[in-house]
Amino acid sequence: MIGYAVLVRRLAGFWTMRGVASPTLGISIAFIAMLALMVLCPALFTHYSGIDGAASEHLQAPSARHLFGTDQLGRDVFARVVYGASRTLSAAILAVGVGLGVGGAIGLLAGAAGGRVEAVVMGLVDIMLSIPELLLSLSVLILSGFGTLHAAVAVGIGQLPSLARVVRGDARRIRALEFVEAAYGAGGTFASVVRRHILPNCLTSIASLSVLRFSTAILSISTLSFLGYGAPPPAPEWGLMIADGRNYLATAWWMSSFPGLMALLVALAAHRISHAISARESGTGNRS
Amino acid sequence: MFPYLLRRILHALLILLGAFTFSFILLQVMPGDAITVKFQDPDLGLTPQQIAEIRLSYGADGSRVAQYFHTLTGMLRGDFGYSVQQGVPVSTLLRTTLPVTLRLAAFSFVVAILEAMAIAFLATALPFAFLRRMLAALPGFLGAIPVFWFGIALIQFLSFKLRLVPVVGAGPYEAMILPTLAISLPIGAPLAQVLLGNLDEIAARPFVAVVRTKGAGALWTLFHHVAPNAILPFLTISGLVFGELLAGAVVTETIFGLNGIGQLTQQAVAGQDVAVLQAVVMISAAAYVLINLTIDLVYPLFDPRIHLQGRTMS
Repeated sequence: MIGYAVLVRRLAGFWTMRGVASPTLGISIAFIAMLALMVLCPALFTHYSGIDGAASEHLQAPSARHLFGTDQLGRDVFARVVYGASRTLSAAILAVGVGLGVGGAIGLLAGAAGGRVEAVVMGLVDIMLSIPELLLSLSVLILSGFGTLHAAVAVGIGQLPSLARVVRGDARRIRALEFVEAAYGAGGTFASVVRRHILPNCLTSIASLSVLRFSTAILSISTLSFLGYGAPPPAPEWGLMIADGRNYLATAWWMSSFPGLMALLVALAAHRISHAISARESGTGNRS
Repeated sequence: MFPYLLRRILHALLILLGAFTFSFILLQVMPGDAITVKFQDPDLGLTPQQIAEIRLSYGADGSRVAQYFHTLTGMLRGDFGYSVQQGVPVSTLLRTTLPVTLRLAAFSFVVAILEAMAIAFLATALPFAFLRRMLAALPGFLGAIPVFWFGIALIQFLSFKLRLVPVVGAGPYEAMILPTLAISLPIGAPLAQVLLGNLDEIAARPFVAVVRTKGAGALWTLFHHVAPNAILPFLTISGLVFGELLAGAVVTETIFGLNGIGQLTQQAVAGQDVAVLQAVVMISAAAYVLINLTIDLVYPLFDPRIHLQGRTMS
């Protein structure tokens, strides 16, 4: 009975983020939920197309008809932001998947193994760390060619070394704990100890990390498409829209402002949620 | 002390060699190099033999291993090969672009540090709790701003709307104002977070309570006892923001039309100019290693505890 009560309290605690609950967290979760809906069915939000526009309505200021105004080809900027959400966000998820899937796995295994394996693997990671993230991404892109998919993978590879570093730190801390030693003593193999003891204890921090990296991945991906290496022009993509709007700064501020604002808000919300996850884990309150 | 120093330098060199090897494998060994991209276009009407001659003139003939040592020794002599796209030595391109970026990076770094200090100290010392909380939340907000968007917004407001800073026909230093602002905010943000954390951590130590009990005021304690202890570790992480400084340069130089390393990088990627990109990668890796080495070597001079550790380790 008592166990059940604790479980209920825990679940309730998760939803209200007990101890770290705040209006900003609620808004952040609601915002991300709204974005998810945008990705799943964009048609709910707008009846305009994200790609075709009416040339007669070009460069109109925001109004009730066009919430975020229209661009130089008469395309509705709000519709493009909505349709762009799926491209930008799925690219960010892919990037974090690559970075965490490869980098996190490397860090986890190195940290759990320790000794010479850890030293050699982390030496290689240190070498990759000496190259700035963006340049690492660009080195991949220059060979793979451009496009959203390639940009996402490149961002993931850029994040790989720092993710390996962080996850390795966690795995290493847990490896040093007594119950891990006990698990080996009880006849556990390396694989079983990693799977049953080390990985589960790293999960919360990995979750927090992946949400945080999701926000930086959005910024990196839109940076790459801003530079012209991401989605090809007609596609609605936030970074690309900002780049397009650059030439109309003096006359049509809405073209680049709204997609930029969206990227900013997503990054902020993800940052806030990541913070709440890690604050819950460490049991301390937080500042922001 | 001496073996410690020697070991740090050796480690730094090893990382550099590793970075070179890594970037060489990544950029040069992969199929589809710049020469093929530029010259295999059938419209140019080049015979395979002529392409082979071009390869020879770029030092891109011979085995991969020979190329590796050719490129490595070249870089040690300051010869970064030829830009296939622009047809000039990469070192010539670097000579004109490097000073611009160094100036931009230095300005942005100093401004970022000042911003970080201003935010952190105000968030610690301001009178009202809600003001402190707002300032403490500021770094998270600033860190989420896309640099390229912020740069554009700066042009829009400060230059077009308010006409405070010219973007067209600006002098060499005037032209630095907006790019510096654009890079320094997102870089100052994480620094402010670190400094704020340090200040909190030091303020919770027992000696601070002792100082306060002796009758020292809150501000006096902050600036005479807490800040000096918090700033040193804060400055040491400054080396880590170097990469972001460079990433910021790629974006802002493109936006503001500054002819620096960043714009060079942007063009190199667009034109698949591998030699240029590898030179930029190596320069930034070298700078990163050098900054970290300097911090490692200088830190013991300021913090006696680290000095002792270095001794016992060696």
